[in-house]
Formats: sequence, structure tokens, C-alpha cells
Amino acid sequence: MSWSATDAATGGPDPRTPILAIDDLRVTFASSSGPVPAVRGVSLDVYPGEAVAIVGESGSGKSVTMLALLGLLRNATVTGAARYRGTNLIGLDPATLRTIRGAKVAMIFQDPMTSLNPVLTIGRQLSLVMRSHQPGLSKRDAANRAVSLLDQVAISQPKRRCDSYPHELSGGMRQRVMIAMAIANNPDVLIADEPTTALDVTVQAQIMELLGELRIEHNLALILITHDLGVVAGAADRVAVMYAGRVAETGPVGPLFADPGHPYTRGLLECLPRLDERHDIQVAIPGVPATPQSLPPGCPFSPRCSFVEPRCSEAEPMLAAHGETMAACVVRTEVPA
Amino acid sequence: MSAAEATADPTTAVPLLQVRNLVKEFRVRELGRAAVVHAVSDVSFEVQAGETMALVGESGCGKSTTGRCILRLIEPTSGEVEFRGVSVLSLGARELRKARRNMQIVFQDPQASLHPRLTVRQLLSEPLEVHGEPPGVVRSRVDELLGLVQLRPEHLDRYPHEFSGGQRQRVGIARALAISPALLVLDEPVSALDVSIQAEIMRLLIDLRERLGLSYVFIAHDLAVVRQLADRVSVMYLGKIVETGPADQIYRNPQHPYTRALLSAIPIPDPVVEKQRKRIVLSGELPSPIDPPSGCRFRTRCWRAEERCAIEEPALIPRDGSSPTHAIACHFPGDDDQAVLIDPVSAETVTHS
Amino acid sequence: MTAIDAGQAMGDAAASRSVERQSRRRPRWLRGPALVGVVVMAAWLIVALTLPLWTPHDPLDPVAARLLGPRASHWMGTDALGRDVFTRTLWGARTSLPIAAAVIASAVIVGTIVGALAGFFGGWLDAVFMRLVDITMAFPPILLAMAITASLGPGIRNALIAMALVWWPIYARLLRAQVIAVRQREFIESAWAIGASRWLILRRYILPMSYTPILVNATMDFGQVVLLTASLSFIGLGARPPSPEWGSMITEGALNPYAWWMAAAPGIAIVTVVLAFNFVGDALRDSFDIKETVR
Repeated sequence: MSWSATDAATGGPDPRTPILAIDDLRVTFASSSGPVPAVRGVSLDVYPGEAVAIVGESGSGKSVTMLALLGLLRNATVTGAARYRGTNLIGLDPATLRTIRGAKVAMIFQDPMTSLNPVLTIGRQLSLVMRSHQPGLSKRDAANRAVSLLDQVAISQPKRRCDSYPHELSGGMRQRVMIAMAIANNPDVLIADEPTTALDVTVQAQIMELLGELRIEHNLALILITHDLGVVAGAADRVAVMYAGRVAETGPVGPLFADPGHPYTRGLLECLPRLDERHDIQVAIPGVPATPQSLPPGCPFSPRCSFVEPRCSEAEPMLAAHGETMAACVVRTEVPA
Repeated sequence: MSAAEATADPTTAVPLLQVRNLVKEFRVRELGRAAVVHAVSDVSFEVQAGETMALVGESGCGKSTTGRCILRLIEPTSGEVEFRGVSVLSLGARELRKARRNMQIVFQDPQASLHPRLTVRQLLSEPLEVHGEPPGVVRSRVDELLGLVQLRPEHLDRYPHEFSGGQRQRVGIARALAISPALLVLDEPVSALDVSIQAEIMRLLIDLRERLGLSYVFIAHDLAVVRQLADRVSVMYLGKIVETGPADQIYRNPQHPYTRALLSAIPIPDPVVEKQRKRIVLSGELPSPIDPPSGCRFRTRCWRAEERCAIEEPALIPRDGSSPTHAIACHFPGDDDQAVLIDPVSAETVTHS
Repeated sequence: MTAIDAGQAMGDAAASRSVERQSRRRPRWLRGPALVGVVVMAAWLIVALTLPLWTPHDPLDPVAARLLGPRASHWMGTDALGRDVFTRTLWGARTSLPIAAAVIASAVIVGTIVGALAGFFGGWLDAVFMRLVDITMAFPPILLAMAITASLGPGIRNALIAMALVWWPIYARLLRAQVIAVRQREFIESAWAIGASRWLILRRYILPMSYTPILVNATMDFGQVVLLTASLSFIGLGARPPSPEWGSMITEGALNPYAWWMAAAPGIAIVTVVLAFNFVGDALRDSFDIKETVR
């Protein structure tokens, strides 16, 4: 499978078909107190070169969704489809999955401190990543490319850094190294799981800027998992808001922020402290986020919702249109008769 | 006139808390050699009764260490901390324990800061028992505390791990308030909580402040959160305060380059605004606190830096362009860089050129 | 890339649930080897306590012909003096188990005091105590026990003193390490902040959170002390004949190699005791680990 050859012939992946199509993904964990449905039917399309943000609080299932499609979960039953260029990653045989994972669909994680191997130098790790996916690559070529990768992620003195160990680097630099490792094999899709949560805000700005540049240069599709709506506002083209294992609302970033349909999205936006305003804090969402172990009947958000009606407990709402976004809420997506 | 005096409101009497020339150095071994970490270097500020002072900065700036030094949970290397004019640092062990009635702390991680094997009842009674309150008083005060933080009586016999993050933090706050302190040091009290819970706890802190007439030293890294309740803000970098002043002025008219970079880096949850903003993206990395740069510690990442900055450390004093209560530690303060900052009052984008 | 465990991915709510389960003290670890261990321990305990009421034979008097092999009337045969080996083996428990308990108890008490003080106060107290520990631990334990017993004179009581002296440093070190670790945790800071005294913090905060490794170690050491007692008796320090102690029984068995049952019976007894305590100790450690690491 030589993707790049096909792309070269056709001038890049077709921008009208999703490069990653997630269809009714469900993830259930086996636990001693019974099955835990962490993800309950998530569908999402990601197009080449676009930035999609998946937003949610703890228990929403946002990280689990991405880990599931890359086959990184233990003790989990995963059903549904996650098609990368037509190939369903769910249930794919491990050998083929390995050629895609890390090469074509790459992932970076939240805590760069624990994601890098502490006993290998940076150069060696980069080299390993490249040579395990590009068997023909010689050690020397890999080493040279490692230096150039570090340069691309704006690490100063890249040649020297190749000989450093992870503990000699700061958090921001380690995250850059992770990004370098992720783009080393020219992926089409980069999944970033809370890439800046553990970093200072000035470093966060640097990293987000870097991701933006790389996205444009390499025509990367970026899936950004985060709880920080500020980061989303600056980086995303489209947003999917997750709650209790399902997508509560999805749509282009502008309309979602300007006119959110789902009450959860509304509540989240309202309770955010803004740098540019000092206003009285509204406690917009009482109660605690629903967890997969304690789901109410019908709409999972109903116990905390200020728009709640009796029919909300009847069945889980499906996504329906609300202005320019799609929201899973029967009350707010009525089409007036 | 010292920096603290220069920025204090001249009309009030003795400030509730006065910190002067606070220094904390840690001895460590680096690669087998002894080295000194300059965690807090010559920090001074004041908190008036009823005021909320925010200490903000990124990791490694020394804000948490400063907070702990105020309470003497860490012994400062030198400097002075005075509560209502009485020195805290020179108290003996027994007097210090008595003095703990005045100042308390709320920690960042409510899971780690509550004894996992004590019930809520025990956690709330303990401060009272330690200070010799009779059992009747203890019981009624515990009930009072529950009401203050909006917990219910059935919570009393549960253990910390049985609660959600937000509820645990309420317990932490109640425990800190048990012996009625006048000053609360809050060390990143909402950073570990989900966004929707953060709002609740902030609301609680604001309400408590009104009801009980508390003063806060609010330590945080998130200037957006701080905006909601700070009267004064002090920005810290690598152990020093680089800018301090009334909250309004720090947000609307930040003068120190680091403050400006920090403010511009904080994302605003509004795509229209975000896409228009031009950020100041700092170059370089945070220098090591073992070997901080000479002169101005921020100069290695500062776009305004000149020779003078390496030689002469700028004093934290009011400068041209700022009011008498707004002090900046910079040789070239001002708003003349190319950055788009938000004018908070009108929510208009204001471009500086 | 490594696979991510379910627990990590599920986050806070799930984790606190399993801690909740632990705290309800349902002994979920009480299955498999641990159950076997507990049953065996209980069996030996009952034997040791009730033996005088139902002993099959007298352990000290000859009851049959000498060196008889195992048979219906004498399950493990007779020894060189015609005493019933099975009975003597059972009686051995009445010596070994209390000794082991006494040694462990004194070692734990002394070790805890030394370790807690050293770890909590640090400074010169820590230095002095730890040098004491280092000096004691510099000697191979059996050698040291032998030397002390020999100088005090052979006998069970002196063996007990010697073993306690050899054993306490381990617990001191263990507890000191725990105290130092627990001392840094944030809830200790909280205790300081409200004005608690040092002794209150030591008593209510530090010690209750530090004892778990001691418990695990003490359980597993039980078997080791039984072995050490037997070793001392084997070489003639410790229990004196005709007392039916397992180690001295093995010595006698070694002198009569063709009467394999003489050494086998006490040997099997030692193995069952050591294994039983090991199983229980393992299970304890597992259950404590879960409690500590899940947040």
C-alpha cells in the first residue's frame, strides 16, 4: 500500500471524502461491577486537512474514542467502524493496523514526561519510529531526518538535541519531540489528546502555533481532544461536543460558539471565565458530569438541564439540526410547525 | 519608598498581611554538586483587610512557594511576613500554632490534601479540637460549616474518596474556615476541577468572601479565572514579581512584556475574537531557577531587551504610563509592541502598533 | 505504543468506585492461595492451642519400638528413642509458633519506634539510629543470631532474644522509608496548617498511613523466623533435647538418614507454615497495593 504514490498521482487525498470516517463507534469496558459503556455510538467524519476538536469533560469518553480506533485499549469491546481511507480500523488484524498506526494515523498524548522512553536518546527514538515504518531506511538517513524533524518543530540546536535524553528537556520541548515523532512518517491524520493541558499557557501558545503551521504544510487532518474551549476557538474548524459517551452537538466552530443548540454546550460556554470580561459567574450547569456507570434514562444530560421536559427521559435524542449545528436535544431542535 | 509601600493604598492603617523581601532558596544536588534553587527572590506585597490579591504566573515562578512561606509551611530563607503588624516568622512553635487561627490554606488537589482515612466530620472537627474548643462548640460549628459550603449532614460520615472533585474541594474549604481565619491562601483551588465545577466553586468562594469578610491570597496560573475575583494582581516570573497593580489596570493596561505575553497567550473562547488576535509568542525556554539570568530575569525571552537589562535589575516601582498603585519591574515598560489585546471594558479589539 | 488499561482511560469516577469497594472491607482477596494460607494458619493455630487435650501420644516418652516406619498406628513412624514422630511434630508447633510471634512482635515494636522517630524528626536522631541499623544489618543474620545465642548460652529464650535483636533493623528501615514518603504528602501539610502538634501528626496521620508494608513483611517474616529458629536448633543453639522443636528433630533425623520420616515430618511442617504465611502476606500486599495506587 503506497499511499503517497496514489496521492502523488491524484494530487492529494480527495477533499470531499472523509479521510477518517467514524461510524457508530461503541466501546464497552469489562469491569468487576459489570460492563461499562464508555462510548455509546459516536459518528464523526474528518476531512483531509481540517481541524476537528472533540470537547468534553471527564467521563465524556473523548479520549477513549480515539484510543479505541487505534486499538490501544485493553479489556474493551469495540464495535462499529472507523474507516481510514476506506479501511475499517476496528477489528483490523494487528499487523496491518501497525502499519497504519504511527505512520498514517499518529497520536500524541497529554503528558510528554511519561510518553517518551527515558533511557533512549531523542535521536534514537525518532530513528526507531521512522525505521519501523519505513523498512528501507538506513540508520544514517534516519538520523539525518531526525535532525531535520527537530528543526521542523522549532527545537534549537537540533543536532545536539538528538543526543539528549528526555529528562534533559523541558515539558514544552518534550511535547515538540512527540510531535516530531508523530509527523516523522508523514501521517494524514494527527490525533492530539490534550496536547497542551500539562503545559504552561505561554508554552501552550507555542505548541498550538506549531501544530497550526504543520497542519498547513503537510495537509494534516488534526483531531484535537481537549476540555479547553479557548484552545478550540483558536484552532478548530469543526467541533464535536461529547457528553456521557455520545456526541451532544457538532458543527462548524463559529455557529457552535455563537448559537449553541445543546443546553450542555450553552452551559459550558456560559460558565467559562473570559479574559476579556469580568462578569458575574453564572453557575450554568448544576450537578456533576454524568459518568458511564450512572446514566439516567433518556437524555443523559436531563438531570442537569434547565430546558428539561418530561419527554426528555423517554429516549436518547438523536442529532438533529439547530441552525448550522447538529444537536442531540429534542427540545432545542424543534422545527416550528 | 519601597515597592510595597508605593503600591499600597495610603488611606488605610496597618495592612492585614505584609510580605517584605521574602526569599526562599532550596539546596539541591545537581549532578553530584550542591546547587541552590532560587525559588522566591525578594518578593514584597501587601494585602488589605477584605482584599483579594492574586499571585499569578506559570510553573516555576515561585507563587506556590510564596503562599506556603506566608503560612510558614515552608520556612523562608529570609524576609519578613507580618500579620496585622505582628511578625509571623519570629514566632516560637507554640505561638505559631496559635497564630494558625488567623491564616489558613486551601490546596489545589482536594484528593491529596484530605486524610483518606478520616471522615468529613473528623476532618472538620479537627481544627477546632486542636485549638481546644469544647465538644458542644465543635458540633455546632461543624453544622454551621456544612451550611456554609452547601454540603448536607449525610455527608458527615463519608470518606473523601466517596465524593466528587467539587465536593471534596468544598470539604477542603470548610476545613480551612473552621477556626475562622481572616486570611485564606488559596493555592490553585480550581485547577484540578472540571470546567463546569470550577464555576460553582468560584461562586462559592466569592459568596464566602462577602459573607465572612475574608481576605484572599489567590494563587493561580489562569488569568481568566483570576479575573473574576481579584482586586489586585501580582504577576510572578522566576521567583520575582514583575508587575503588580489593581486588577483592572493589569488587564487593561499591562506594561511588563511578560504580562503582555501571558495575557495574549490565554485563549478566549470566542472563535471570532481568537482568529483576529495576534499573539505574542515567546521565544526560548524558561531559564533554570538554579542559574537565573543576571539583571532582569526575563531578558532572555524579551523582545525589548537591551544591554542595560543584563546589568541592572529593574526595580518594582510605578513608571510613566502607570498609576501610583501600579508597579512594573522593567526598564522599558509600555504597550508599544504589535499585539492585539482585548480592551475589557468595551470588548472591542484594540490594536497597538 | 503500549496498550492503555481500562482504568486509566475511564478516569476519576471509575477509580473512586473501586477504592470504595476496598474500603467496605469485603475480603475479595480471600480466594485462591490466600484462602489456602489462611486455612493452614488456622489449622496450625488450633493444633498448637488445643494439642494437650487430644495428643495422640506423649511427645517425650518412648511409646513403641525405635525407628519404626510410617504405619497406621504411627503416621510418621518413631524416632531413635521410640517416640512418635507425628506427635512430636505437632508439639513442635507449640514451640515454634509462639517464638516466631514473640520475635516478630518485639522486632516490629522496636523497629517502629526507632523508624518513626528517625524518619519524622530526621537530623542527628535519624543519623544515630540509622547507623545502629546499618551496623546490625552488616552482619549476616544467621551468623549474628548464632553469635548472640552462643554468648548468651544455648536455649530457646536466648534464641528468641538473639532473633529479635537481628530482626528489628529491617522494620526500622521499612517504617522510616514509609514515614519519609508519607511526610511529603499534601494532607500532612494540611495538618500542619491547622496547627496540629507534631505528636498528633505522628500519631494520627503518619503512623496509620505507614504500617501497611510492615504488616505485609511481618506476615511473610513469620515463616522466616520459624526457619531461623529451626536452623539455630539444628546446630545446637536454641531448643535443647528432648524438647520437640522442628529444627532439633531434623538434626536427629540427619543422624539417622535411613529413617527418612524423622526429618521429613518436621520438614513438611516447616514448609507448610512458611508457605501459608507467604500466601497470606502476598494477598495482603496485593490488597494494600490496590488501595494505595488507585486515586
